[in-house]
Amino acid sequence: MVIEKTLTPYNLSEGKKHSTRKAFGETVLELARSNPRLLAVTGDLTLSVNLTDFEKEFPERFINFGVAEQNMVASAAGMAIGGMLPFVATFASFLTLRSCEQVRNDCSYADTNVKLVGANAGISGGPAGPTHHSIEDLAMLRAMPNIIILTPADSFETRVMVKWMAEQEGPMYLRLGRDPWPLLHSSEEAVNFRPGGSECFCGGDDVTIFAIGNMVAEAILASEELSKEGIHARVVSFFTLKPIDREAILAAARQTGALITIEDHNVIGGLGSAVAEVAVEAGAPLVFKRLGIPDEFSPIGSADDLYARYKMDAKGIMATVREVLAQKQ
Amino acid sequence: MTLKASTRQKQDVAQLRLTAAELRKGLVELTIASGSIGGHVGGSLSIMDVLAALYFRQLNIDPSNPCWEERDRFILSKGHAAMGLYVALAKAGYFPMEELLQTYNQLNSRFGKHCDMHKTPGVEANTGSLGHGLSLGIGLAIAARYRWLKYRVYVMMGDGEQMEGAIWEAAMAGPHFKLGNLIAIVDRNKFCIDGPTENIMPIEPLAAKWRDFGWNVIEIDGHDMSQIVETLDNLPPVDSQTPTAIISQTIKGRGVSLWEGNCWYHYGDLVDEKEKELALRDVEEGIARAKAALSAGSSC
Repeated sequence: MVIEKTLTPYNLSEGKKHSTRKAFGETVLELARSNPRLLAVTGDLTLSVNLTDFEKEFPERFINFGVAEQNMVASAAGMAIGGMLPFVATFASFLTLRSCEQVRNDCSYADTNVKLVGANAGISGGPAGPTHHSIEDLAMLRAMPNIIILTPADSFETRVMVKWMAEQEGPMYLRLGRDPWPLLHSSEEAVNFRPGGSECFCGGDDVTIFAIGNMVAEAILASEELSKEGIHARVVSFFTLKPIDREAILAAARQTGALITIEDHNVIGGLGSAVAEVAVEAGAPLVFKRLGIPDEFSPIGSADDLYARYKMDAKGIMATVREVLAQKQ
Repeated sequence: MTLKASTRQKQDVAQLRLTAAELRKGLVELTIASGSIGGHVGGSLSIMDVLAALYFRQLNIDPSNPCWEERDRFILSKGHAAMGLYVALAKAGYFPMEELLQTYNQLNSRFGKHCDMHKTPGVEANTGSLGHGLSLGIGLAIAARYRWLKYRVYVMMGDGEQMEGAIWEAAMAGPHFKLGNLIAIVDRNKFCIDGPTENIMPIEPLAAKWRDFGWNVIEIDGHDMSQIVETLDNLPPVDSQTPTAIISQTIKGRGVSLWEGNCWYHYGDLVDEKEKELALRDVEEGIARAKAALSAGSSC
């Protein structure tokens, strides 16, 4: 049972939106003012990861590696070994695919204090197409020891997480979107961030929807609509995909017996796999469905059109909930 | 900030020749100790003279305090030559040679086939997959600038490693970031695993490439100790603006006639009694020659 007071309050009715990329850039600049070891590192995508103001205010602590991500990531690891605090930001696809071995050997294996920030994750780049999409990053990084994977659901969470990343030693990956995302929280203070924790936005015992990132707002909208039909869908968002909140998964499996996962990522290897691993290993009897990109490269289209195509919007989630409930019965 | 110097005695050229010969013997002993597992003998022997000059003269280090903040950093980007580096580190005093000989490659050892900075005292980076070390070195050199530390970063690369694209990304970045505190050394032993580099994927003209990328390039005979010392003694100042690339011409397997210049001994073992005997004889003769030269007072 989800007790009402444990629910995280949210407000989507005002339609406020903010870009997580912008929240990252703003926060890292604020932190740099009091932390002389903080470096902002990018590879020819300064504007895209919102580091323009950082470059203006701290040109000496802004390092542009040009279009050379492998060197950028390994060099950042060297900076971290040398006692600096590098935040390395570029598109998630280039950061995790082009530099995959540098992330694995120089950040994960070497356990260095490198903060990786991947923007335009998932298919949020829309018509930029599969070369600029990142539908494998969670699968790859989840298999790399030491790395903490942070999946903020809005800009306030992004701000809180960036501050936490700066304080905490070790390699981390922060996964951001492209376009502004709905603001779920009213302020940073309203974010009760816990690494390895989750937050429950909607109560319900019929089915649980586990969501991360931009999919959280869609899941909430779906849950709100479904409640009008008398279907009570719990919505749980993970602050970190790794470590993952096992208790939340096991409680949901036990209490709702039906789990849906939704992520802007291939359905293989990311959130869906992580939830399934926990639930199945615990022997929980359940109905289970993953939503996300169904192991294919997307056609051309806007992000919203692609999300609709893959049932990754509120409407698609609602349809999936009905299917899962039919199966449950 | 003034540069704190290590109080270690710097060996002269004749002493370094003896040290290098002793390191070669150490490598042969380690190969014997590792039994049928063997090791990357060829590329370890080719770097021994430069390693001797670095660890017993050039590097500002304190083996009793491996984490000393102002120390010079040496990254073995050709991390497969770890066994060569271990022998040098043991002789320099980072850990007992006995422990190395007894535990190399064993379960929970501090010494595996490739470099791990969290396991082995004196190792500065995790290397093994090629093409990472120079970038790691760039980061360490950048960190030194921000922290007003006067250390140099030395990165030893393989010549086969020059085929990795990431090397050239780093080659562009070193001069761009004005890292005169960065010294790249290419161990030009002519072979990668499958054969001569120039047959597999040509890397020449190597010195011209580094020069064109904006580096201060020095070509040396990597087995001529006086040349090595002269080069390292005369590096540009730490706060200069141009990184240096030393192309060190060497012979794979140098010092053990079984392996010398033979690309098939990128990796080898010394299980065969006759081969064991031959290898030991070679390295002991090397020591005897160096000792004779030392006692004769020769430094040429």
